[in-house]
Amino acid sequence: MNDLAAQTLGAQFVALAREGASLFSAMSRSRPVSDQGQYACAILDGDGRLIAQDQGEPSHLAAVQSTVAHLLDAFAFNIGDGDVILSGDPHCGGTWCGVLTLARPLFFDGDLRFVAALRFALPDLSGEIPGLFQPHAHEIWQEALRVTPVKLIEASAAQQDLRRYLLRNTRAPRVLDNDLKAAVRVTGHIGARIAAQVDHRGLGASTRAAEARIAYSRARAEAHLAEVACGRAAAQGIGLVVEHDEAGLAIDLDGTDGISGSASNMTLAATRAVALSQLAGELIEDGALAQGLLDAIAVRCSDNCILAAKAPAAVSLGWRITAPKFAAALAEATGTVSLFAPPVPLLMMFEEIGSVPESHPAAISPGFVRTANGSGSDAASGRRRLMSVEMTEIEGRLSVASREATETGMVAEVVVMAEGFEAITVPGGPEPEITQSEPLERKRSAVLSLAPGARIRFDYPAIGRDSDARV
Amino acid sequence: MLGSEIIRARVVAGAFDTAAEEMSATVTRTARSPIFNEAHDFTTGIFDFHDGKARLIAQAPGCTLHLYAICSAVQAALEAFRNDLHPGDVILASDPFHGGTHIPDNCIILPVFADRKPVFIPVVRAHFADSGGPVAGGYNPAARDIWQDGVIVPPLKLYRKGERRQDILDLIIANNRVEQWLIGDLAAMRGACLTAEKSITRLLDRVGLAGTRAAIEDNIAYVERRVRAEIESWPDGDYAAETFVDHDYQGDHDIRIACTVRVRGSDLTFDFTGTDPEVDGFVNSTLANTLSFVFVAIASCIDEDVTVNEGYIAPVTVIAPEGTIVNPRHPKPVGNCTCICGAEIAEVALLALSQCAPTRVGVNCHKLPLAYSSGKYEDGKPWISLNFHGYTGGAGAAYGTDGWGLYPPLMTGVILPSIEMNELQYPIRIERHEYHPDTEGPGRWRGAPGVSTRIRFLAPSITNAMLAGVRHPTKGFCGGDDGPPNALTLSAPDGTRSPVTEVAYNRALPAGSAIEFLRAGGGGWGPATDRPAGEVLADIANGCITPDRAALAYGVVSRSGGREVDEKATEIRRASMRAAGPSASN
Repeated sequence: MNDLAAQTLGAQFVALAREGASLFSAMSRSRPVSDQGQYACAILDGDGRLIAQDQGEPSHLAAVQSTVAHLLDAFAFNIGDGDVILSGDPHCGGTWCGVLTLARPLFFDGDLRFVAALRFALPDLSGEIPGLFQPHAHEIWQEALRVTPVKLIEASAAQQDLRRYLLRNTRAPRVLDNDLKAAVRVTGHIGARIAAQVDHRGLGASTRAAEARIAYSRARAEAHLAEVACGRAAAQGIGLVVEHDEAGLAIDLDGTDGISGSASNMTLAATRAVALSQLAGELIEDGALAQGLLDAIAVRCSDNCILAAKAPAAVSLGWRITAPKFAAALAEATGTVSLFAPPVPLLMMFEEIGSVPESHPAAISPGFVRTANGSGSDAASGRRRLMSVEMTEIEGRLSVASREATETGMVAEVVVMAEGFEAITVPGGPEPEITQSEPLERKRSAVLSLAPGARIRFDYPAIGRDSDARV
Repeated sequence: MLGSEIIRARVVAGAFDTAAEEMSATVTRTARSPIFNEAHDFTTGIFDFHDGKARLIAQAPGCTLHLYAICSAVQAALEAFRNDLHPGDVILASDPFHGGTHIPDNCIILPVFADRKPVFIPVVRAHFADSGGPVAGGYNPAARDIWQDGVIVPPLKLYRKGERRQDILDLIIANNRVEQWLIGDLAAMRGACLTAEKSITRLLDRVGLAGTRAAIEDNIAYVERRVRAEIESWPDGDYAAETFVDHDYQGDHDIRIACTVRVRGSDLTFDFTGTDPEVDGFVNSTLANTLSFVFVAIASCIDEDVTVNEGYIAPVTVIAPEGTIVNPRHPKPVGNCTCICGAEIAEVALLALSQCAPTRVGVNCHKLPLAYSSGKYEDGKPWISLNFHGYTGGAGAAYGTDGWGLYPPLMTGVILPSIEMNELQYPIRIERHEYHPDTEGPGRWRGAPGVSTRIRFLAPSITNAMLAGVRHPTKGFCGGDDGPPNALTLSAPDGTRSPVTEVAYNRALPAGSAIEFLRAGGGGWGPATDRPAGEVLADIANGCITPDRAALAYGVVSRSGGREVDEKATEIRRASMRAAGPSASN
């Protein structure tokens, strides 16, 4: 097979990952998927090496591959044709609770050759507070159900008891049911497309194309990372050294704080995602995300590190609170600009706890940060969409009263339109200011009671210069 | 019925009872969690399976409040796997709104096959030390929905055709804080079911399936006859009662539970119409739990030699309107239902029954000062303690007997754990565990005195304390007085004491802190002024009451430090109390 053929087939893998991501985002009913781009689609080889991936936002950059690698290890030689495996545990290669990875192993000539994987966030997966943010958690069990690798489908037979278990442990069972079905179908579609490719071009050509793509990714990574300046940084609990090594770049986190008793820890997969975004964002945008790039950035740390927290550490706020600090430290060490803006004000709003059998928690942040270079989402936000005024008002919960640029940034105000809603303000950014005549605080709870007519103001400070983007 | 059939029925019943007791012994001796092996917070039973319905045929003495719940949980599990049951399958289930009670009570269910069909089902229902979720230990007083109670386990096959589903087992373990106990406990529960499977197979070899089934029908019919005979001895009529839950831990107080008992011949109906609506807090009771506590009340009225099987349940109908605290709708929280409002359900049922069967109603004793704690051993592994010693005592009186001794911690077969063993198993010292004078409910037969317990923690812990039975303490029967209120105090290492008024949520206690429980005594039966003066003097001599209490509550005026009765003064005092009515003794 010549280079051109390998590139053509490799590009098909990339196109297929994009197609899968696009299909899934259209089929999903989960708000984190549709509003915030919390999904990814990937194709891996039989050894769990990433061939191609497309994602709606960068937290999934390393997690799909590490989750698939973990689940392949978990099942070892107990994986067969017709199996579909689900995993959603931060401490099994993931990032935070409530984000599931569905992997479909693809067998050719009796051997596991490829894996089609979809990763997507749910609106809720049990836990103390509806939604995926758990501000008071100090251990993983408070945050959500841990979905360690399980066979959702075994030898083409759906495991109905497992499905029941998952659906019982979410406040949004219909969304979960829909998205599981969507993910099964999309990975099935990818499997069929790969099978067609193998039929048409032969298994050898496909596997060589996968190898070529990983090698291409590695070559691009080596060239790119060689240009990255090395250095060290220490601030806000993050101490790190960036240096070149044989594989590419190594980030030594020896000077970083230990595991936190709060929910601001990050898993290694989340940390690697920040590093990939910050140090190789252009490559990822340019279609070079494959195992070669993943392998080119190594993260070294001790067993007790806030950026590689082990079970049972809580992690739901890590991406919001700690990731920008880590990105800023990386930027400082490498003499670049942080691509992660400080956290924006955020409110999680949901039906009064216990009042309805199915709840639809929603992350509310109606504005965006303005910078000297322009306005809009930062790298960490990926394909997050600005909250639509019309869609928000159609839902009937909220009305967007104003959204205006000011001298100091941006101010947005929403008004609660319906009864029976509660909320939490998510720590990490400027706290939304809530005004209502009725008492806001609930007894014995950090949850706030919202009354119709309550006005919620969100302040987004402007970032005047590029350097201000650092946290 | 032929004599040989009667003998066969008794042999088969004995075989199943023995198998259930073997199961119980297996769990006790092989489980890891102190909640299993010390407190025995589990129940074993065997069901038959016929025409799509599981019927209880034998149950070992265990946790009484599992009595009905085990039936509904098994039925729900079998319906979930209606056409998908195989030899070697082992099912785990704990789903409050599908036949369950509260999430910590899990069932292990193993179908036993004969003639290629599932015919018998050994089951172990047990209280797991943890159920994942927001707080360690499975009781979350801040819960406002079922997901804040913990992780729900709808029927799941842990083993399929004898093969362990490691991924499912890993999933269950990952969602539990005490892996080191859970693995052993699950194995113990399955081992108990396998033990029963062997016994049942031996029985079937000897008696045959048809003979065994015929014997079971005879046994169920016999038990039903005995229960119906008891009910028939009560006068027909409607007997109404009410009681109240102190609060729901979310600010709602004095929640009414109403019950009308209808006796019609040998049929008995408990109608909870008039009960308050479901509440925000975790004291709602699932239907299965409500039925369980009704049967706890009924069981106290039935002769002990009547074995528990489906015949026990057949004469009884329970009406629990949907949307009330005794039959809440999904997703209301139910985490504390096996304590509150289970206690009040049994209490109101007993209060109603005491009007038609006054000499039969049993002890009322389930309102607990609940507090459980969690922490880490020196090796970093977690521990969770339910502090069972703080719940002991509180037995109410019944006709013909005072409330006795250290009645089991719950209105159950749960036993008092060994203090020495608990001090080995947990970083605790039980510094005090003794009767507290003047804390009994007076009556012709008095309640047991309250028990004062102090548990000191040698390591840092997190404690959730949930007080009940304060605004509405344990009721007495038939003119007997109520017990006094419970009390709970958290004590800092420097001795500073903080009384718990309703709840202490996730309170971090440093090493050296203590929990002090006053488990108040039980209510009395019959007027206290009817208690013979000699028995009152004996109570003084035994330290159950003081001479002042004897005079105030029983009208017995004593001399010589309580050693002699002042007959004349006693006569005057009692006459005055009788004239003033029942409340005069309080």
